[in-house]
Amino acid sequence: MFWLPVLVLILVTILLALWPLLRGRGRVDPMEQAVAFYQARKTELERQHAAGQIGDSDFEAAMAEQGRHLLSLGRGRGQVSGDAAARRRRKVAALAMLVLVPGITLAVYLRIGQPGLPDLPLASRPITPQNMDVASALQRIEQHLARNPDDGRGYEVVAPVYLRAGRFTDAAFAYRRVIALLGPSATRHADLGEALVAEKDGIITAEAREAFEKAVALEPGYAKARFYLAVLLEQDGNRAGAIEKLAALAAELGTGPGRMRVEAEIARMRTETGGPASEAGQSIAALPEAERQAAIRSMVDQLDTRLAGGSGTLGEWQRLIRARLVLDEPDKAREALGRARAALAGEPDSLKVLDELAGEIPGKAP
Amino acid sequence: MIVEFGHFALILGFAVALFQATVPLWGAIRGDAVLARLGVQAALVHFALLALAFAALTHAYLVSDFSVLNVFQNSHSLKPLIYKWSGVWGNHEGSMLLWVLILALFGAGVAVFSKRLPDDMLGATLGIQGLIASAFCAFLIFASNPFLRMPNPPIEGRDLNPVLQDPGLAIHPPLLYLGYVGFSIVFSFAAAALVLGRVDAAFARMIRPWTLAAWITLTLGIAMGSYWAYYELGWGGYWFWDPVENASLMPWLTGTALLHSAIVLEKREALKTWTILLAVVTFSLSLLGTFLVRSGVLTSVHAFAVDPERGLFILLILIAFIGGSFALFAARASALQGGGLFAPVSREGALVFNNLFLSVASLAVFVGTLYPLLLEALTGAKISVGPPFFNLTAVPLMVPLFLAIPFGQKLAWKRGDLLGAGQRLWICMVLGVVGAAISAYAAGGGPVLALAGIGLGIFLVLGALDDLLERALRGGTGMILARIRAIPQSITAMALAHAGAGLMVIGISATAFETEKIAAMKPGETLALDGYTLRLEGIGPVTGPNYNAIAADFSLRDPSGAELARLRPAKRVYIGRQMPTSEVGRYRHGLSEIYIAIGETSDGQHVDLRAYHKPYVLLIWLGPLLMSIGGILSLLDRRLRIGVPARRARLRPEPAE
Repeated sequence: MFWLPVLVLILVTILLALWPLLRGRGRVDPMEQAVAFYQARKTELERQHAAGQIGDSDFEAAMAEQGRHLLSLGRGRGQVSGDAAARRRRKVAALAMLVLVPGITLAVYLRIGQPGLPDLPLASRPITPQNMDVASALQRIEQHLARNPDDGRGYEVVAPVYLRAGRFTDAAFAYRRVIALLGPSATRHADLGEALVAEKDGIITAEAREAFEKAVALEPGYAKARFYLAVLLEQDGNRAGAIEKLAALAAELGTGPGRMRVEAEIARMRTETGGPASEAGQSIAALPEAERQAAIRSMVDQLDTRLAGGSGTLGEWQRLIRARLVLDEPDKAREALGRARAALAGEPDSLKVLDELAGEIPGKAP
Repeated sequence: MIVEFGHFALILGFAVALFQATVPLWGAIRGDAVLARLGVQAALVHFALLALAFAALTHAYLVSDFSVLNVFQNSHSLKPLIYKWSGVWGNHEGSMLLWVLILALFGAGVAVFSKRLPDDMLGATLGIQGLIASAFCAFLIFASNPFLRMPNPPIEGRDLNPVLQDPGLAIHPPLLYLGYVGFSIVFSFAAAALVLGRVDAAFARMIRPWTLAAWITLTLGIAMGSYWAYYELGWGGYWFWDPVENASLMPWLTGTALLHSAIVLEKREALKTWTILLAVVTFSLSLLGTFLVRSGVLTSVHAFAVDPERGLFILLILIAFIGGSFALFAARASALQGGGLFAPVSREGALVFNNLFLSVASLAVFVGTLYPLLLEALTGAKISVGPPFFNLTAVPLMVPLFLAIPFGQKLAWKRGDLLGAGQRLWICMVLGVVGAAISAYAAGGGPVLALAGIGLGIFLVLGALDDLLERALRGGTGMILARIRAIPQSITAMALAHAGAGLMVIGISATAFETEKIAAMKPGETLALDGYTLRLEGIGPVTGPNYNAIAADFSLRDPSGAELARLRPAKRVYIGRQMPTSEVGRYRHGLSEIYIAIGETSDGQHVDLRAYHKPYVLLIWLGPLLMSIGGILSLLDRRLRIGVPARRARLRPEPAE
């Protein structure tokens, strides 16, 4: 059904374009038209003269000018070529229209067009199994909401759908409407915050933070809000604090997806720090500043003693040297570096890493 | 089916354009009238095919067919109907389709209305028009195809850029394109005249209606764009010397020059090569404008299409046409016969003066617009040439031009009498100064330049109208009505267009007297503005069809305390793109306006706002409107125009020397 109208279109185009050739038509002398133009100008001048708009002498001068133009036109007319050449030209023109025009069109269209693809107007969209439920239901609700913008329940239904569909901005908008229309609750604020975080690829913005804080204010134990506020601590640079808060949250949660999510987050933070991965590390992080410093120092000393046995890996030696640097003990760091070099003497790659590390130690080189 | 059928029609239209570009041109050069006349059929068929393609795309927008990539990217099922229509050209591909459709429209227009042209001229003109059409059809099909499909489309589209969801923008691009592209036909005529070596009064008469039509629509298009920027962008300005605005101003300036030089050509057969050159330059600047807007080399509000590959394609078209036409000009211009002579002080001389200043002003805009781009391309440095540059270059060039207009209107052809012309104009000048003095008194002073501008505007308006008055009174006070009726339409048209320029000058000068207030207000608070009082009555949410908004509700009271109007400026957020736009509140009194735009309403408790009182601001757009009315009147006057050489001084009382 597609090619029939296309065929008709091509035929009509050719017929219309070549119509004058089919009909045959005598040529018009260009001279005739020029004469007609200047004749019309003379008539106009005569009319103006008769109406008294121009004086006699002006009229004569203007008429003379028209005559001169007319005379100059007669000069330099080209020779008109013969009938045989004209017939040949017409054949070429007709052939171009009959062959080249449809040819070019089909060649181009078949390369870039999609002749088999039907129209898909929204009203008659075929409902495919995978998007039948969500997509069409969503569309219906959206239409309903467009007419009833104050229907908070509608927004409440549609918001999580948006969130799952990845339309985070729409989800955030819907949650805002829910809160404005149905009033605040911990769940609603936390969901809004979650949508805002998703919208910004995991960054917790000031607005999201505010949402979570409101949720916690309404319901202090609300897990989702606490989770994100803890993650926010990490974002602000306090990873230890974040892990501590998350650990506390995990302890309160019963086993289930919620707890698994929290634990996954804790594990991620630990691997990223390479920091205190042990239970002991967690408890140290919870201590007040002065005690924490002392506890960390004792842990570092433990590590030092253990490595003194000579069984340390490159990673452990690096951690020890870094820890000394963090504790602001450059001499001990340098000393540890020397021992590490001795212990890892057989591994050139490791020595290279240690040389780089040596550059970070302030003061004179060993 | 409809979409694919439209796509096919577009490609067939391209093939027909190739036919149109070759066969009639060949016929014209060989003197084969039948072949040359095939251009008429080809131009009509080409237009019909492109109209089919455009209709198919429009249909896809109306039924929200998101299987068309272009519709998906730029439409939304909830969008109001008018923006489904205007959305067709609110994006790169669709607007290029409109561009090509208008190009075809002008070709078809020549085919229909200029059948009485000499065969060779008609064939060559339509052939060159076909050449332009082929180039842009190729660009459309291979680099910006609006008919590309997606087999499994999403259920909802991405919506049209909210800034563009405005009635003003539904009409602005088509008008602007009618102007831009309209000059293509003038260009085709000029190139045809060069090919055939014939430039005479008949040629000037042929191009007059097309030049006028293009000029009228370009004038309206620019004015509309400026008005749209004024009320939609929420900055309260009307012209920003934005490169895209400049891109439309340049062809307007040279187009205006062309309009005037074509008069000299038609009446006196002088300025032949200059007129041809202007026709070439004007269309080249239109192409340049298209390139600037469509290639994304600029980053501004208008440049919503960004794609360097496309830019290169248009650049090649640009170079081919501009380079080709200048080469043709260089080769053939010397073959044109010189025209009639005239004295410096004459109507022709005044029009040369006009051409000189308009061209130099266009050059100034050209430099200011392209220099930053060139610099960025060569050195990577990004500079911006702002309003100060243009205010120091293009604007001062306009002042002597405007001053000269009323004199030019009064000069006779061939040799004129400046003193005689000046006699009556002294009165207009004095009245202009008086007008400026009254404004200064009313406003309690004001910038000297602005006052001078108002005086200049008044002089222009009165000078234009005085020309009509003088004609009516010429030869005594009897029979005035009959003489008014006898005034040729073209003379009235000229007076209206020049008066329009005057009104615009007054409007622009009056912006120096506006009052601006920036404030943060809570509900219940009031703000005094030039005697008017604004009271914030409340702030609240508003839900539109595809946007949500926070609107502020202001009541406006006059000095006596009576409520004049409620103004509701708003901040809208469009659902599809989550893009905020500003909706301003305006109250018109006479030709002046109160204008309020609100900023963020962070807490719903107070609102930041800018409020303006803009005296006579509407004149800025009424002026160009009057100019285009003048253009329309001139277009309707189909009489032949023949310059009658003045042999001696006219029979009028000379001042004693």
